[in-house]
Amino acid sequence: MMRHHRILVGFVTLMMSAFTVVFCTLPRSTYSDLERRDLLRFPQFSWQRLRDGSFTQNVSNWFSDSEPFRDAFMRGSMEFKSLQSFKTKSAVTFHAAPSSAEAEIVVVPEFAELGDQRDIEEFHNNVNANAKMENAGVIVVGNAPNARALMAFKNKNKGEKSFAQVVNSYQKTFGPEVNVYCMIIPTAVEYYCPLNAESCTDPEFPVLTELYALIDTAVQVVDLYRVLGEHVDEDIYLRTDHHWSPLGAFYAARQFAMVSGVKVPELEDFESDTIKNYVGSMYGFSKDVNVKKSPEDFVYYKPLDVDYTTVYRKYDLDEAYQIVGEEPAHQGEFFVKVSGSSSAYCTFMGSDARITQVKSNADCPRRLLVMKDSFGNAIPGYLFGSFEEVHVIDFRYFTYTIKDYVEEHGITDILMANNISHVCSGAIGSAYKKILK
Amino acid sequence: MVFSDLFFLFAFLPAFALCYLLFKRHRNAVLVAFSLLFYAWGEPVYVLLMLASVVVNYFVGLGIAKKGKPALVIGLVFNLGVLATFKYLSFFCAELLSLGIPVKVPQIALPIGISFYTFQSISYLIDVYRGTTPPQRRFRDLLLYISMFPQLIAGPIVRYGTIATEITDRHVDSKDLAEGMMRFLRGLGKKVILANQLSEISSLMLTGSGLENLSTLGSWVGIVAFTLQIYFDFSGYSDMAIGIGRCLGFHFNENFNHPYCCDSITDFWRRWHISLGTFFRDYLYIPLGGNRRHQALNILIVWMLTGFWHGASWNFLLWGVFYGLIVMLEKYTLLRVKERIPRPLLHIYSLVLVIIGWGIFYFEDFGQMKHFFHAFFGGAEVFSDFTAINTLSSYGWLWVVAIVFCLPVREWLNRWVARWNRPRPVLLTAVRCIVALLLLTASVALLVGATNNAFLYTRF
Repeated sequence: MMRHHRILVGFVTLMMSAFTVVFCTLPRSTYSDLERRDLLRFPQFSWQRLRDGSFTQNVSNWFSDSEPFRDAFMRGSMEFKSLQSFKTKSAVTFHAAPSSAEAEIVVVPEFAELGDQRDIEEFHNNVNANAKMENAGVIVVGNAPNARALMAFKNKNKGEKSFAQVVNSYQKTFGPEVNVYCMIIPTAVEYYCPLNAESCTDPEFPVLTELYALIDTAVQVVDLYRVLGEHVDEDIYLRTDHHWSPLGAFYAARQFAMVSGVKVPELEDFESDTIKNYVGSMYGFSKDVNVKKSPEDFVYYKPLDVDYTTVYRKYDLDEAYQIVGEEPAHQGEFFVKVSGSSSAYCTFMGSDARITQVKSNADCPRRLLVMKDSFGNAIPGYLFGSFEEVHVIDFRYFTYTIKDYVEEHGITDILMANNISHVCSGAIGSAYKKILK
Repeated sequence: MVFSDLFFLFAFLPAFALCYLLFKRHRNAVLVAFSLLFYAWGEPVYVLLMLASVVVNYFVGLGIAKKGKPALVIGLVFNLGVLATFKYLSFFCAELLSLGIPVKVPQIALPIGISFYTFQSISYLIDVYRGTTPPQRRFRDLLLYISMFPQLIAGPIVRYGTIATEITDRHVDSKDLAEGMMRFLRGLGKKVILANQLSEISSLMLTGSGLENLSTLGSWVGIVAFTLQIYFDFSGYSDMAIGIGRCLGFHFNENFNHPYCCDSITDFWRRWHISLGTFFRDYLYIPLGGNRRHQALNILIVWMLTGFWHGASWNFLLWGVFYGLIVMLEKYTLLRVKERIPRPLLHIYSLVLVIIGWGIFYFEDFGQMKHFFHAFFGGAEVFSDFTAINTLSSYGWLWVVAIVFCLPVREWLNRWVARWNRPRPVLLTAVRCIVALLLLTASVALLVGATNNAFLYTRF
């Protein structure tokens, strides 16, 4: 029997030694593709940090955060966790339609008349599917290979009032000289959340109606709630990412064009390009292997018959995403070739931390400034033929004042395009206010 | 540092094992050095408090041999004073302040493991006073007893007499190593595979918006998840402590005996955190008179203090009183007629009360506790909700495995194996190797990226 004990001891020792060699000698990971973040670095030493325990704590954190093959281990962990679930058949049926709890899908091939942008009806959803609540408030609907991950909408901060106030203040600042448009982008959960998971998310409709009531009539609202609802049977939102798809952004751009009185070509008049096997951010958020196993095509559209040049002023960021410098203006490509499929959404401009100026040969003397979060990145490409200049700034990365910028570049139209979660966050109102003047 | 931390598993532990083997003749010195490093890693300043505590207890221990009771009293006052200062002073000052009495509330961080090492020191002094063990004359060995890292921060509360001989004279054979390693891995699996994931369910249901929108089913799902979580968390830690101890040649007493198989609350407390229960029995309940005089009062005092030992918060006190009253009632009612009641009914009765007890234990905020129990007893706006139903199916096999491993499965398996006419050690060893491989690999994978890894009992 002793011999068998020795075998067991030897085996366990061997396993522990193998893991020790892997964790202590192999090069450590510095970036997690899965979580899309830089991993922790070895902490800086100071006697003060040693004394208060933060140094040793950070060493442990660094060791546990930057292990070799981190993503592989995490994938293993997700596979393991997925085994815990009682398997259910993946039968997802979408019977979604505007204004009707019973109706089948209503596809509206052409835009109806514009109507009052603020007069919207609640979208009733009849999605029947198995769903589960995963990490970070992510609802995963269905199973691989067609799982859809939805970020639950939680209106905790009730920031809509401060956002409406700041939108109104933009309009008052610029007066009738500049058209101010407000586009609030609903998120996928509003359209695709199964009935049985509705309690996990707050409805976006009442927030939108409240916002539309709070925004002055001098501000032109571009409503997407109805427009996107008319296209729920198309791929208007990415299944594996928290963003919408370029197709969803196309419908948004068309709606904006109608409200602002410019023209946008039909979708067929754009050149499409596809990034295959895209798995977006929701895999890292949900840590659900079903999302990983549900890759999708990322289809985006580039303008044809428009000559345009793109100039960037990039910001340098530190590890905490704080601006630490600005690079000189330089010409670049608006549609960036990204490496690997996981960064597909960065196709538009490459990142958020920059000021973008696109000049085109459009036969329209108006100049548009798009103030946006990352959802807004997908919109400008459709508008290059509609405005002679399109400027894009991200409210989180802008070190000048909008008032000066508008005057300096002769901006005639300002489009504020942000997703509803950002709009309600509370922080966006103060951020917009800070950069106004 | 905690046992289920990757840094502990693959940096601290291998370094310790290497030094322990290299400096075999000085293994106690190595164990003390690494124990102090282990504690200082999380508490760089409070390690001095622990050292000071050991110094005082060392001299008090020697003093008891000469002066008897007065030295014991000094030792008890010191240890209880340290505990009162670092664990309860801020709480009581804050309570006085809330009553309008102008006192300054000191900001004192709770030193990790203070409740455990203080109780070990008290048990040492009382045992020396009672003459059940001689005082330790070598300071290093007393330091080893109190600071030994396997049981330092979350127990079990090891009596000095249990390991006094093994401190100076211990032998480790391959059976000790094999049993110790398997015990350690079993504990790791309990913590990482079961407790950490069950904590995701309990947090989802019982905190934040989950608590705000709690349904009746959700309250049951959440608190049952916590019931399982705290068992696998704490018993996992005890298994790891016992396992490391065994590898080093120490034989700690068991701390758990399948508590959720109990058939009464009295029985539950014979099976749950045994080292704490026996501590209070031997050092408080019996000296107070036990069941010879003022039994009801003695029970209430012991249970109030048991509750309060867990933390400076009224809910812990209430939790202790809750159990004190039930134990007392059982003494005069249930235990007299137990044999005539069907066992399944006894199990259901016990488990329901245990689950209610964890509900009191979980919520330090009485407003939240009230909201929880309102939902728990059917007062929620809705009976069930998506999240609750979803956690039952999404974690389906986790529930099954967790409930199965609350039962004495290993003992059943051992008995089943023993019934074989011809034991097959090769097969058994192969199975154990596979189990070890699965436990370690799954635990490591789950630890990568884990965010809920602290042991619940390290905060007591």
